[in-house]
Amino acid sequence: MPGWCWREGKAHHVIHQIQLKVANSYGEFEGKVVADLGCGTGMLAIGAAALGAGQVLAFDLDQDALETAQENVRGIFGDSDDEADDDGAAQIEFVRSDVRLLAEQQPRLHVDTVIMNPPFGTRQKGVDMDFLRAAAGIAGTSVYSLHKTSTRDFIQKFAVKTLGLATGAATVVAQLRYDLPPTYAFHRLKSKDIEVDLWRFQMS
Amino acid sequence: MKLITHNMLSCPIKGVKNGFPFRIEVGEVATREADFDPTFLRHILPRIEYGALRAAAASLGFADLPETVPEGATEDDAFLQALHHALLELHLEEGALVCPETGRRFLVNKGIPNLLLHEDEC
Repeated sequence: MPGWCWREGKAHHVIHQIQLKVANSYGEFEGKVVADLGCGTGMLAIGAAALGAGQVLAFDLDQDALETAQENVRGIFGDSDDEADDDGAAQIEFVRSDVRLLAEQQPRLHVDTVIMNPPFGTRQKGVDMDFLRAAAGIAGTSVYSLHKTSTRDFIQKFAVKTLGLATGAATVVAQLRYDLPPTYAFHRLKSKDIEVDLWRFQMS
Repeated sequence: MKLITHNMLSCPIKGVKNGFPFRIEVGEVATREADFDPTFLRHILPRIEYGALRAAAASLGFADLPETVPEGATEDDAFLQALHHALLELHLEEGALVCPETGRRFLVNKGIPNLLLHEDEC
Protein backbone atom coordinates (compact mmCIF):
# COMPACT_ATOMS: atom_id res chain seq x y z
CA MET A 1 0.00 0.00 0.00
CA PRO A 2 1.49 3.36 -0.91
CA GLY A 3 2.11 5.67 2.00
CA TRP A 4 2.05 2.85 4.50
CA CYS A 5 5.28 3.60 6.28
CA TRP A 6 5.18 3.52 10.03
CA ARG A 7 8.11 4.84 11.93
CA GLU A 8 7.23 2.52 14.76
CA GLY A 9 8.35 -1.06 14.98
CA LYS A 10 6.44 -4.27 14.70
CA ALA A 11 5.68 -4.52 18.40
CA HIS A 12 3.76 -1.26 18.21
CA HIS A 13 1.82 -2.60 15.31
CA VAL A 14 0.73 -5.76 17.09
CA ILE A 15 -0.12 -3.93 20.30
CA HIS A 16 -2.20 -1.37 18.42
CA GLN A 17 -4.07 -4.13 16.64
CA ILE A 18 -4.93 -5.68 19.99
CA GLN A 19 -5.95 -2.32 21.41
CA LEU A 20 -8.26 -1.66 18.46
CA LYS A 21 -9.70 -5.15 18.62
CA VAL A 22 -10.51 -4.88 22.32
CA ALA A 23 -12.12 -1.43 22.00
CA ASN A 24 -14.09 -2.62 18.99
CA SER A 25 -15.35 -5.64 20.90
CA TYR A 26 -16.99 -3.18 23.31
CA GLY A 27 -18.67 -1.47 20.33
CA GLU A 28 -16.74 1.77 20.85
CA PHE A 29 -16.22 2.76 17.20
CA GLU A 30 -19.24 2.15 14.99
CA GLY A 31 -20.93 5.51 14.46
CA LYS A 32 -19.07 7.16 17.33
CA VAL A 33 -16.85 10.20 17.71
CA VAL A 34 -13.40 8.98 18.64
CA ALA A 35 -10.26 10.89 19.65
CA ASP A 36 -6.66 9.73 19.37
CA LEU A 37 -4.39 11.74 21.66
CA GLY A 38 -0.75 11.90 20.64
CA CYS A 39 -1.64 10.21 17.38
CA GLY A 40 1.90 10.06 15.95
CA THR A 41 1.67 8.51 12.51
CA GLY A 42 -2.05 7.96 12.98
CA MET A 43 -2.23 4.22 13.32
CA LEU A 44 -4.90 4.10 16.02
CA ALA A 45 -6.91 6.85 14.35
CA ILE A 46 -6.82 4.98 11.05
CA GLY A 47 -7.80 1.75 12.78
CA ALA A 48 -10.75 3.41 14.51
CA ALA A 49 -11.92 4.91 11.21
CA ALA A 50 -11.56 1.58 9.44
CA LEU A 51 -13.69 0.00 12.17
CA GLY A 52 -16.55 2.38 11.43
CA ALA A 53 -16.03 5.46 13.61
CA GLY A 54 -18.31 8.28 12.51
CA GLN A 55 -15.52 10.78 13.05
CA VAL A 56 -12.01 10.56 14.45
CA LEU A 57 -10.17 13.56 15.85
CA ALA A 58 -6.43 12.98 16.06
CA PHE A 59 -4.24 15.33 18.08
CA ASP A 60 -0.50 15.68 18.19
CA LEU A 61 2.10 18.27 19.10
CA ASP A 62 4.33 17.50 16.17
CA GLN A 63 3.59 18.91 12.72
CA ASP A 64 5.77 16.35 10.92
CA ALA A 65 3.95 13.48 12.62
CA LEU A 66 0.58 14.97 11.65
CA GLU A 67 1.57 15.39 8.03
CA THR A 68 2.93 11.83 7.93
CA ALA A 69 -0.31 10.63 9.48
CA GLN A 70 -2.28 12.48 6.84
CA GLU A 71 -0.19 10.88 4.10
CA ASN A 72 -0.82 7.50 5.68
CA VAL A 73 -4.55 8.17 5.60
CA ARG A 74 -4.37 9.03 1.92
CA GLY A 75 -2.25 5.97 1.21
CA ILE A 76 -4.71 3.65 2.88
CA PHE A 77 -8.11 5.14 2.18
CA GLY A 78 -7.27 6.87 -1.08
CA ASP A 79 -7.33 10.58 -1.62
CA SER A 80 -10.92 11.59 -2.16
CA ASP A 81 -9.78 14.32 -4.53
CA ASP A 82 -9.16 11.43 -6.86
CA GLU A 83 -12.62 10.32 -7.86
CA ALA A 84 -11.46 6.96 -9.13
CA ASP A 85 -10.42 5.97 -5.63
CA ASP A 86 -13.01 7.61 -3.45
CA ASP A 87 -13.56 5.62 -0.32
CA GLY A 88 -14.88 8.39 1.85
CA ALA A 89 -11.30 9.51 2.53
CA ALA A 90 -11.67 8.21 6.08
CA GLN A 91 -13.39 10.34 8.66
CA ILE A 92 -10.17 11.53 10.27
CA GLU A 93 -9.31 15.06 11.30
CA PHE A 94 -5.90 16.17 12.50
CA VAL A 95 -5.29 19.03 14.92
CA ARG A 96 -1.96 20.30 16.21
CA SER A 97 -2.30 20.90 19.90
CA ASP A 98 -0.71 20.34 23.29
CA VAL A 99 -2.49 17.13 24.22
CA ARG A 100 -1.70 17.43 27.93
CA LEU A 101 -3.75 20.63 28.17
CA LEU A 102 -6.59 19.56 25.89
CA ALA A 103 -9.28 19.23 28.55
CA GLU A 104 -8.54 22.70 30.01
CA GLN A 105 -8.03 24.42 26.68
CA GLN A 106 -10.96 22.89 24.79
CA PRO A 107 -14.14 23.00 26.88
CA ARG A 108 -16.32 22.18 23.85
CA LEU A 109 -14.37 19.12 22.85
CA HIS A 110 -16.53 16.09 23.67
CA VAL A 111 -16.05 12.69 22.12
CA ASP A 112 -17.45 9.26 22.89
CA THR A 113 -14.23 7.31 23.09
CA VAL A 114 -10.53 8.09 23.42
CA ILE A 115 -8.01 5.58 22.17
CA MET A 116 -4.37 6.44 22.75
CA ASN A 117 -0.84 5.26 23.25
CA PRO A 118 0.63 8.00 25.43
CA PRO A 119 4.37 8.47 25.63
CA PHE A 120 5.92 6.78 28.61
CA GLY A 121 9.51 6.41 29.51
CA THR A 122 12.21 7.98 31.54
CA ARG A 123 12.47 11.30 29.80
CA GLN A 124 9.17 12.89 30.72
CA LYS A 125 7.97 11.24 33.86
CA GLY A 126 4.25 11.22 34.37
CA VAL A 127 3.37 12.58 30.96
CA ASP A 128 1.09 9.59 30.41
CA MET A 129 -0.88 10.71 33.47
CA ASP A 130 -1.34 14.13 31.87
CA PHE A 131 -2.64 12.40 28.76
CA LEU A 132 -4.99 10.32 30.88
CA ARG A 133 -6.38 13.39 32.64
CA ALA A 134 -6.95 15.06 29.26
CA ALA A 135 -8.61 11.93 27.87
CA ALA A 136 -10.94 11.61 30.85
CA GLY A 137 -11.84 15.27 30.44
CA ILE A 138 -13.10 14.86 26.89
CA ALA A 139 -14.42 11.27 26.76
CA GLY A 140 -18.08 10.60 27.45
CA THR A 141 -18.03 6.82 27.32
CA SER A 142 -14.60 5.29 27.59
CA VAL A 143 -10.83 5.61 27.34
CA TYR A 144 -8.46 2.92 26.09
CA SER A 145 -4.84 3.57 26.96
CA LEU A 146 -1.50 1.84 27.38
CA HIS A 147 0.62 2.27 30.50
CA LYS A 148 3.58 0.53 32.06
CA THR A 149 2.56 -2.42 34.20
CA SER A 150 4.89 -1.13 36.92
CA THR A 151 2.54 1.84 37.38
CA ARG A 152 -0.61 -0.28 37.71
CA ASP A 153 -1.35 0.41 41.38
CA PHE A 154 -0.68 4.09 40.91
CA ILE A 155 -3.08 4.31 37.97
CA GLN A 156 -5.78 2.48 39.86
CA LYS A 157 -5.60 5.11 42.62
CA PHE A 158 -5.28 7.92 40.09
CA ALA A 159 -8.49 6.79 38.39
CA VAL A 160 -10.48 7.06 41.61
CA LYS A 161 -8.80 10.03 43.31
CA THR A 162 -7.86 12.29 40.41
CA LEU A 163 -10.23 11.27 37.64
CA GLY A 164 -13.11 10.73 40.06
CA LEU A 165 -14.10 7.38 38.58
CA ALA A 166 -16.04 4.77 40.50
CA THR A 167 -14.11 1.84 41.91
CA GLY A 168 -14.09 -0.83 39.24
CA ALA A 169 -14.43 1.65 36.39
CA ALA A 170 -10.74 1.31 35.56
CA THR A 171 -9.70 -2.15 34.50
CA VAL A 172 -6.68 -3.77 32.89
CA VAL A 173 -8.06 -5.65 29.92
CA ALA A 174 -4.75 -7.04 28.62
CA GLN A 175 -1.12 -7.26 29.63
CA LEU A 176 1.39 -7.04 26.83
CA ARG A 177 5.10 -6.91 26.22
CA TYR A 178 6.54 -3.93 24.45
CA ASP A 179 9.89 -4.15 22.75
CA LEU A 180 11.26 -0.64 22.81
CA PRO A 181 13.56 -0.16 19.84
CA PRO A 182 17.18 0.72 20.67
CA THR A 183 16.95 3.93 18.67
CA TYR A 184 15.87 5.84 21.75
CA ALA A 185 19.29 7.07 22.79
CA PHE A 186 18.18 8.22 26.22
CA HIS A 187 17.57 4.67 27.37
CA ARG A 188 20.47 3.22 29.23
CA LEU A 189 19.95 -0.27 27.91
CA LYS A 190 20.23 -0.90 24.20
CA SER A 191 16.92 -2.65 23.90
CA LYS A 192 14.46 -3.41 26.62
CA ASP A 193 11.24 -5.26 26.96
CA ILE A 194 8.62 -3.34 28.85
CA GLU A 195 5.50 -4.84 30.33
CA VAL A 196 2.49 -2.70 29.48
CA ASP A 197 -1.15 -2.82 30.47
CA LEU A 198 -4.02 -2.05 28.20
CA TRP A 199 -6.47 -0.13 30.36
CA ARG A 200 -10.15 0.47 29.83
CA PHE A 201 -11.64 3.41 31.72
CA GLN A 202 -15.40 3.45 31.80
CA MET A 203 -16.49 7.08 32.00
CA SER A 204 -20.23 6.67 32.30
CA MET B 1 -10.44 20.87 8.75
CA LYS B 2 -14.14 20.07 8.68
CA LEU B 3 -16.76 22.15 10.41
CA ILE B 4 -17.58 19.34 12.86
CA THR B 5 -14.06 19.96 14.16
CA HIS B 6 -14.44 23.73 14.03
CA ASN B 7 -17.57 23.32 16.16
CA MET B 8 -15.61 21.64 18.96
CA LEU B 9 -12.56 23.91 19.08
CA SER B 10 -12.07 27.08 21.09
CA CYS B 11 -9.25 29.56 21.55
CA PRO B 12 -6.81 27.85 23.95
CA ILE B 13 -5.35 31.03 25.45
CA LYS B 14 -5.71 31.06 29.21
CA GLY B 15 -8.17 33.58 30.58
CA VAL B 16 -10.08 33.98 27.32
CA LYS B 17 -13.79 33.81 28.10
CA ASN B 18 -15.38 34.02 24.66
CA GLY B 19 -12.98 31.89 22.65
CA PHE B 20 -15.77 30.20 20.69
CA PRO B 21 -16.58 30.07 17.86
CA PHE B 22 -13.51 30.85 15.85
CA ARG B 23 -14.13 33.21 12.97
CA ILE B 24 -12.86 31.60 9.78
CA GLU B 25 -10.43 33.32 7.48
CA VAL B 26 -10.75 31.47 4.20
CA GLY B 27 -7.75 30.74 2.04
CA GLU B 28 -8.75 27.58 0.24
CA VAL B 29 -11.84 25.40 0.64
CA ALA B 30 -12.27 21.87 -0.66
CA THR B 31 -15.48 19.86 -0.96
CA ARG B 32 -15.17 16.11 -0.59
CA GLU B 33 -18.05 13.72 -0.73
CA ALA B 34 -18.60 11.66 2.41
CA ASP B 35 -20.98 8.78 3.05
CA PHE B 36 -24.35 10.06 4.24
CA ASP B 37 -25.06 8.51 7.63
CA PRO B 38 -28.26 9.85 9.25
CA THR B 39 -27.70 7.76 12.38
CA PHE B 40 -24.40 9.49 13.00
CA LEU B 41 -25.96 12.90 12.33
CA ARG B 42 -28.70 12.24 14.89
CA HIS B 43 -26.02 11.15 17.34
CA ILE B 44 -23.94 14.29 16.88
CA LEU B 45 -26.62 16.96 16.46
CA PRO B 46 -27.25 17.56 20.19
CA ARG B 47 -23.56 18.43 20.64
CA ILE B 48 -23.44 20.89 17.78
CA GLU B 49 -23.67 24.61 18.47
CA TYR B 50 -25.94 25.27 15.53
CA GLY B 51 -25.51 29.02 15.19
CA ALA B 52 -21.74 28.61 15.04
CA LEU B 53 -22.05 25.88 12.43
CA ARG B 54 -24.39 27.92 10.28
CA ALA B 55 -22.11 30.98 10.36
CA ALA B 56 -19.03 28.87 9.65
CA ALA B 57 -20.73 27.13 6.71
CA ALA B 58 -21.75 30.50 5.31
CA SER B 59 -18.17 31.75 5.55
CA LEU B 60 -17.12 28.73 3.47
CA GLY B 61 -19.77 29.61 0.88
CA PHE B 62 -22.56 27.22 1.91
CA ALA B 63 -25.67 29.17 2.87
CA ASP B 64 -28.33 26.41 2.70
CA LEU B 65 -28.69 25.71 6.41
CA PRO B 66 -31.96 27.07 7.82
CA GLU B 67 -31.75 29.80 10.44
CA THR B 68 -32.71 27.43 13.24
CA VAL B 69 -32.86 23.67 13.61
CA PRO B 70 -36.31 22.74 12.22
CA GLU B 71 -38.93 20.83 14.20
CA GLY B 72 -38.50 17.11 13.71
CA ALA B 73 -34.98 17.72 12.40
CA THR B 74 -33.84 14.15 13.00
CA GLU B 75 -36.39 12.85 10.47
CA ASP B 76 -36.09 15.77 8.04
CA ASP B 77 -34.10 14.38 5.13
CA ALA B 78 -33.47 17.71 3.41
CA PHE B 79 -32.17 19.19 6.66
CA LEU B 80 -30.00 16.17 7.43
CA GLN B 81 -28.49 16.33 3.94
CA ALA B 82 -27.60 20.00 4.43
CA LEU B 83 -26.26 19.26 7.91
CA HIS B 84 -24.17 16.41 6.51
CA HIS B 85 -22.69 18.65 3.84
CA ALA B 86 -21.90 21.45 6.29
CA LEU B 87 -20.39 19.24 8.99
CA LEU B 88 -18.55 16.62 7.01
CA GLU B 89 -18.00 17.59 3.39
CA LEU B 90 -16.63 21.12 3.53
CA HIS B 91 -12.94 21.36 4.34
CA LEU B 92 -10.92 24.41 5.16
CA GLU B 93 -7.62 23.50 3.55
CA GLU B 94 -5.77 26.78 3.99
CA GLY B 95 -6.69 29.76 6.10
CA ALA B 96 -6.91 30.72 9.74
CA LEU B 97 -9.11 30.45 12.81
CA VAL B 98 -9.49 33.80 14.50
CA CYS B 99 -10.30 34.09 18.20
CA PRO B 100 -13.45 36.23 18.59
CA GLU B 101 -12.12 37.81 21.78
CA THR B 102 -8.42 38.43 21.21
CA GLY B 103 -8.19 38.36 17.43
CA ARG B 104 -5.32 35.87 17.68
CA ARG B 105 -4.98 33.95 14.41
CA PHE B 106 -4.37 30.22 14.40
CA LEU B 107 -3.19 29.08 10.99
CA VAL B 108 -4.67 26.16 9.11
CA ASN B 109 -2.19 24.53 6.74
CA LYS B 110 -2.90 21.45 4.65
CA GLY B 111 -6.18 21.15 6.52
CA ILE B 112 -4.47 20.97 9.92
CA PRO B 113 -5.24 23.76 12.41
CA ASN B 114 -2.31 24.69 14.61
CA LEU B 115 -3.57 25.51 18.10
CA LEU B 116 -0.16 25.59 19.78
CA LEU B 117 0.44 28.68 21.86
CA HIS B 118 3.53 30.83 22.17
CA GLU B 119 5.19 30.70 25.57
CA ASP B 120 3.84 34.06 26.66
CA GLU B 121 0.24 33.03 25.92
CA CYS B 122 0.02 30.01 28.22
